[in-house]
Amino acid sequence: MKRERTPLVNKKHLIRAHEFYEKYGPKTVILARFVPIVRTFSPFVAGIAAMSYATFLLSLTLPAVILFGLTLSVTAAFARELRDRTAATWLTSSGGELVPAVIGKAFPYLALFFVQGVMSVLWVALATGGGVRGSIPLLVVAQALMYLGYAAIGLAIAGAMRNMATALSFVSLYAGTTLAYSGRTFPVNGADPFVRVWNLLLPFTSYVKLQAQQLDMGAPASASLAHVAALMAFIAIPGAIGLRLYGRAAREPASWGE
Amino acid sequence: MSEFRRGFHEALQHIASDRAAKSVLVGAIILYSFFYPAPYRSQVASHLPVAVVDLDLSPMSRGLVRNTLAVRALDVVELGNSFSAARASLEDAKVQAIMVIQPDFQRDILRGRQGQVALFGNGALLAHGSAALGGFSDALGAFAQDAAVVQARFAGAATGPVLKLVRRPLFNTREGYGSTVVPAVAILIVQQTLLMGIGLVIGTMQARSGRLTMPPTRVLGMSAAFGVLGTLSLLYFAGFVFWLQDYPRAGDLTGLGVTTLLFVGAVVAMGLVAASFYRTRERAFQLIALLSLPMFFLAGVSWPVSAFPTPLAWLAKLLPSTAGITAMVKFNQMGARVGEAAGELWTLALLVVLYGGLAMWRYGPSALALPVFPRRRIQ
Repeated sequence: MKRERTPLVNKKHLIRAHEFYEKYGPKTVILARFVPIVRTFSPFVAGIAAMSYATFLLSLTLPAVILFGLTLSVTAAFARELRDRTAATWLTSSGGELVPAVIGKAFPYLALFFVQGVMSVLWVALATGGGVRGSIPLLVVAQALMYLGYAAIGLAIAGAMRNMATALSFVSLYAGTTLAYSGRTFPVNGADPFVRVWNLLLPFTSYVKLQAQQLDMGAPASASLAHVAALMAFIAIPGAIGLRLYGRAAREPASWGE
Repeated sequence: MSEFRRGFHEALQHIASDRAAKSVLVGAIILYSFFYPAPYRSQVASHLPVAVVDLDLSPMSRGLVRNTLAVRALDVVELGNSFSAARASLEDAKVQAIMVIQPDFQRDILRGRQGQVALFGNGALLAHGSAALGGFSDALGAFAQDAAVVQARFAGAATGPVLKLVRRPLFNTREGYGSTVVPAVAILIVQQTLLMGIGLVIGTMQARSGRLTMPPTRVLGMSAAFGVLGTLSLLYFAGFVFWLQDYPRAGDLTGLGVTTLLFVGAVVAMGLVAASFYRTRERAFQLIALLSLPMFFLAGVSWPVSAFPTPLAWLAKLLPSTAGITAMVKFNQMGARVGEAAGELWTLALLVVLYGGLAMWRYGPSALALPVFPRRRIQ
């Protein structure tokens, strides 16, 4: 008697599905779900490794912690000059030019946090994930742009608050809640307009979209260009506002809070 | 007793006269109680953009597409017959998941076999991807019910499942994301604002007049002042915010009371120890704020403490938030009795003794033997 094929696993179909995955598969990940009558396939079935929780969580939280540290440090550095009433001396010693003085002060922090940021992303990719699937230079550029953006925002906050304690409180609110408003742990699609707008006002939102494309998905570089443009806008706009606010604050010592 | 009263008044006076201290100890609690739950208001992921690729184009595949369109979690933004186009959209983050209905889908089902459907979720966005796949699964489940009837008509026998699994979540019955995260984060917010507030007040004192030393009763008086504020903040979250946001509430008042006292006590004592090292008023903001995220992960909400490497598990135990969050969630959300959180309560009690003892030592007479901070001019 001929052996019956088991109704649950149809080998021909499995091979067909496997070919489908070989052709299109491994860069995206699927969770297995089985519904009788309709057979759903996943890379687990087809033997393709899955995204780990560690990769997901670490590639999200490490940049979030590092950008928070950078924003706190840069904001503190600018606000300290006002608190200690040393802004005038500092600016005079750098030739009275605001722009080079500001860049010079932010640079060591940027360099330090940028190195940490790039190293952490590469570490996540190598130690827990399957390497960088897209463009490493693009990831590195995006990291640099994101930190520059947060430094520009820190300058604007220091200039707007003119008080170190208040400025750092505001940084905690803005940069410390990045993960909650990033839309990565929980999607913002169905959220209130306030949440969706706040989400768009974070450079991190653009950065993680690019990171997902270049680190995990191996998308073409062209797909990430819009995010690069957004990250540049986060440097240009807050930077211009920050220079204006901080420049004005530096000229008005009477307004500096303790 | 007068030293106790002096410490109590001194702390309250400092807070009242310092705008930054008021904003961190009172303002931040109120602000964060609305700001933090906002992204999670919808509780369950909805309207996730997905693509459907129908390679069969049969009445049955169209039936499955119709079912998919009806699922609340999903917004079918692309419907076509090209997988590469759908995949480009996935890489562009325009869609979070793809369902591919394979050719011969209808033929296979009518022949009594299984129809082939491939699901692709975006693994780079684990939460979105799995929620979208869950939505597809709902659509497939509903479709399979109907298809079974059709198949039975052709084959003469139903191939329905012999076992049906029904899931009933306990405590967080709507399986809301906000209900899981916010009650835990609320405890952390109370801890962080207290640590920052104490650091700000003591840091300002030490910036003005060098290392602070005071008799133990005055340390207790100051602790009581901060403790009152911390207790009020905690009760504001447990009694008002959780009700306003409609998070699960199963308040066992005895447990809540005991945990509040021990948790706030441990946080205040820890805050006083940390603050004894600050020479500037802003130091606490830089340090404590940055530690918020690591502290949240060490609390074991997103990943259980039992799965931590041992050194991290011990480090986590030293933070009041770890035991505090577990105990508070047990009492507030899960309706536990006091005995059921005994482990956490003992941990908190030990932390009170540990940090309390350290605080007495840091502000005691022996502190004079330690290096004295130079005075700094404050305008």
